[in-house]
Amino acid sequence: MVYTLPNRPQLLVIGAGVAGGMVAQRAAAAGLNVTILCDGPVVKREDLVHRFRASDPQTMMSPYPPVPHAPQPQVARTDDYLIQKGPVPYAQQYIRAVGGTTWHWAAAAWRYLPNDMKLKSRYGVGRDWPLDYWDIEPWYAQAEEEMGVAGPEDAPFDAPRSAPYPMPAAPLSYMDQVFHEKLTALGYDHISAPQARNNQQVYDDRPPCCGNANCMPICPIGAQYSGNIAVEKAQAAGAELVTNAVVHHLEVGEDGEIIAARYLTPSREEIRVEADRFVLASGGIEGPKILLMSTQENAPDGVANSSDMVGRNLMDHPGTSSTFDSEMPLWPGRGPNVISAITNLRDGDFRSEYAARKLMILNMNPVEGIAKAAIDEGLSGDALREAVRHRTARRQVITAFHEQLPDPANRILPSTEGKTDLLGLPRPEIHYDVGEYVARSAEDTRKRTERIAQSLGAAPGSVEHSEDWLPNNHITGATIMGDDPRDSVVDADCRAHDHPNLWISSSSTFPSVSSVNVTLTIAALALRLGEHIASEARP
Amino acid sequence: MTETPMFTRRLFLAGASAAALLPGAALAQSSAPTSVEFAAACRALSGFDAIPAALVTGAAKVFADPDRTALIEGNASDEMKKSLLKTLYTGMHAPEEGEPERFAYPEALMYACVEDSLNVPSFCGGLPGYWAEKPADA
Repeated sequence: MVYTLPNRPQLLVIGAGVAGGMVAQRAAAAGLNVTILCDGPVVKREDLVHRFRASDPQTMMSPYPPVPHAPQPQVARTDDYLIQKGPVPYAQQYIRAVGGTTWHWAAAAWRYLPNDMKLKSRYGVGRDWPLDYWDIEPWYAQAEEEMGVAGPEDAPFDAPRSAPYPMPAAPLSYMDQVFHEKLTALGYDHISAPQARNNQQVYDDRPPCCGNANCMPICPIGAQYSGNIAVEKAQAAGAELVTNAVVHHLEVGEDGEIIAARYLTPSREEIRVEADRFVLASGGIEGPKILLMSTQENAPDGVANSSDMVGRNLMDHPGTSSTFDSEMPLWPGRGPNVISAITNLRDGDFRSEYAARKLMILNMNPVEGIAKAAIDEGLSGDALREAVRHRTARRQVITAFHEQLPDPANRILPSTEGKTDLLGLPRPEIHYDVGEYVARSAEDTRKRTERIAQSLGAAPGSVEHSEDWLPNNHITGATIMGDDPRDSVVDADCRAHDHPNLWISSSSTFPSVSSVNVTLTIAALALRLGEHIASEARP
Repeated sequence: MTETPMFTRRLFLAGASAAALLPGAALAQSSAPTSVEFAAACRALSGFDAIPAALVTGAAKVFADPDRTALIEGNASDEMKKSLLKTLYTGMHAPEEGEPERFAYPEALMYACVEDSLNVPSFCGGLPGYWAEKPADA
């Protein structure tokens, strides 16, 4: 029994993270009748903070309640939901609740560089975007204004801009200041990171950051932007929000238009929503999975998939970390989790040979791991107490995001082995590898972090480098954007080549992942898309 | 001064905890006969003169009488002592087998080790921008 909702919105947005929220916000503000479907519940910040403080252990996902009908990959066991076919695990996490994964981001709000969108034509690798940086530059500015970004003016290897940041850059921590001196002497460009977090002022009725040092996994006070804000603004503008609605099928009409979306409730009732226009904003894994599950007579290989590119070209920022003890106490963990970055490795002719990257000085309190290790060494009493203090003050971690190229072999599929979730929907099956382009860059990163550690007085041979690729939850590429319908899923407007009334709002449309966090670009494209749809809908 | 809010909060916690550990206090009255000695042994083992009551009562709950007695008498195994120290320092007991259990969060001793320079994550650290200042011990 399928029940069709009586209300037929002009726009149905599937997904209530920043990607869906901002489309809905803009379209609703323009007067469209908008409905938003979210697969998870509404969550409240105070509940999340309470859950975090009470949880054992505390991880990136510990604030977020389990959603049995919409599983979320966990930290220790992403394979509880994601089916990892390897050879490298794609161990990403995402949050299925109103607000999405920006609940546990670190508010890094970077723009792509113009060359990030011209990899093929400039460096002969990867793909070009079907649009130019300056096509979306005004939308970057609007996204920064909407999210409240604090950033540095005229910083090297920060993207060119038509308007100043809404807020001045957050001050560097003492640790960052010392790093800055050393890194500058080594020839690096080390800048304040642009962050969507209120810097020493109230912005958009949200308080200034007071250094709770907990941007990940939950900002306790809402100084940091999160996607629920866009959804709430959309609702204030008239949008309707439906929660716990797990979309699993899009119906295609004979003319190629999407007719309806079908969702399951937690009790497996099936509901059908007809609409004039559809935006799929369900994230980089669930979104492609919905398209691939939607096989039918008018879309035998799934929706938007005449190119066979849906689910392919999956990317992330394969990460590395280098850990060492500085000679002097610098006390990481004061203020926001990441305040600065090395930027001059973001671009250059080397990109024809190996990956661009962004290096960051981690500013997270490391005391727990240090305490456990000291106890395991057999320390106790005053010696333990002093060792924990001494080491915590000096423990430094440099992390790196490496740019991965799109590869059609890296892909997500609905389980090919019949493995399903609680609603009976196929779990995501992922085939993923990290190639030599990234490996060559990571090797260079290790050499560089060794030199940086030496400059801070680390003992020779003491730097510990991560062995496996670290995931960064920047799920990209699986509904890739391009001009050619034969090898891409959406066009430069993020409209599906195959379906004139279906758009995709997600980092899954990105033809390149660059070396910077993807959320600001998601937001810019979402605002642009909201305006585009509203303009098209106007009589 | 930026350190003030952190220090004040910690002082409050330590003061409240120390009071709870005095002989004859609630803990001693409500636990096994060796509770006061166990608390004293925890203090000696951890390097802290005052341990929040939540940590000691939590530890007393997960470590059996023979283990606690062995600790008091100086016969505890290294394994037991390490497990107890992790409970006191992290606020959480995480056995190799079985479910972890948290007894305390901001009161965990590891945060007391660094309280003059670092706030407990999720609690406000000070005035906006305080982190730009040089920490007390830097």
